[in-house]
Formats: sequence, C-alpha cells, structure tokens
Amino acid sequence: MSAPFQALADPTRREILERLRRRGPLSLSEVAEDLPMTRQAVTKHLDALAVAGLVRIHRLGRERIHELDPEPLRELHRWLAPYEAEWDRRLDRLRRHLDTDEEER
Amino acid sequence: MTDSTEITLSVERTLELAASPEGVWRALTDPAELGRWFPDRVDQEGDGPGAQGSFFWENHGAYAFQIEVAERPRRLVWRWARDPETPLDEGVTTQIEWVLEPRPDGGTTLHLCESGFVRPEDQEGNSKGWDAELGELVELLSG
Repeated sequence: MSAPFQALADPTRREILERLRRRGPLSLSEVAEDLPMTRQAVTKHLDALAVAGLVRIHRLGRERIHELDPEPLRELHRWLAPYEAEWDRRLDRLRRHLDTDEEER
Repeated sequence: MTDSTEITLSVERTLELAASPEGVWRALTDPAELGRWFPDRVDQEGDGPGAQGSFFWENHGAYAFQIEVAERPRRLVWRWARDPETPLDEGVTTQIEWVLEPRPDGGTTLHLCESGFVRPEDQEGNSKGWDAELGELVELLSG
C-alpha cells in the first residue's frame, strides 16, 4: 500500500492524475500537453503510476491509452476513515457541550 | 523534483452551531472548557500563538500541542503530536485548523481541517510533507 503514497508524492504525477480524472482516458501526447518536460519523462511518470496501480495502460493501435484507476485512492480514503470517525465523535461532544452551555445561561 | 515519501491527507468537517463565535471560541481555547469535550484534561503554559501544552486522555496518554495561530474569534490553528509522550519536534505532527464564521442568526459555522497525516511505515527521514489537493481528489472519488 505504500506504492500509491510514493507515486502521489510527486506533483507532476498528481497533475497527470488530475488530467485523467477530468478528461478520461488519454494518449501520451494528450497527457503530456503543456507539461514542461519531454515525452520521455512523462512516460516515466505514467509508468510509475501504472506500477502503483493508479493508471491502467491499454494499447490502441500504435498508441498507448492511459486510464485512471481510483481503487488505490479508495484505499487511502479507507485508511483515513478511523480519524474521520474520531472527529465526528469529538464534534458531537463539542456540539453537546455548547448546547449545555447555552441552557445554563 | 525528488520524491518525498511523506504525504498530506486531511480530515475536513463543517458544523452549523447555534452558539456565537465567542462562545465557540471559548470552547476551543479555554483549557477548562476544552477539557469538557475534547481531551480529559488540558495542560497549557501561556496563551496565544506559541503557547504549548498537552492534551491528556486517561486511556491514551498526553499529546503535546502548540498554538500556531489565534485570531480571536475567527481562526485557530494547533499543531499536535500524533503519538503520546512525544515532543513536537521529534515525532509526526498534524495541524488542526478551526475557522469560525458568524451566521446571520447569531450562530457560528465552524470548519475543521486536520491535515498532515502520515503513515508511519511510509515515513523515511524527516522531509517536509507536501500540501496536496489529494484530500479533494479522494473526496471526489469516494462520493
């Protein structure tokens, strides 16, 4: 599970994921558009994302098509869930505390 | 850019409260009030930005914290330790930001954002965490 964390630690790779999320499956040249680096460097980033399971690569004729796979992100979200539950519990207590406070006045 | 093995994740919540911003501010900053809903006890030296102390839970121990920002009654930021009995500069910390917005009816809209979560097994060295839009992305995808 640490592979998605490492893949996401790079801002270029986050930008690539964001493009794939917004625009759907893209070819290499579509992914690389306006990125300040060579297509070769973009390919390396895409391969790193594929290894982390965040991007799936299909062949379409001579082109490689890249598609976002959100499953590892769901895992990240699941990992965070206990912390969210903890805050929901605390905020409930805050709300009750403020309600009691109000009644006392 | 080199890879960092740390990552920032966040928990965000928004609460609509009947209490005034001043009332909510007190519940967040007065150690006695804080101790009635958050930890079991607050030990705090001083007041305002830079003040340090600990949040103590009977069954978890004492967690160091520091007040980073205190703009009464609008914005409060704490940094606190993820692990008990660990000084702030030695372990993993997260940032807790509270933003209080007055409502037309006299109540308060309270925003909470805790950010800076790091999985211990991913932590190598102490490189700075990055500010990610990841929380946003995760949120969109989990909908």
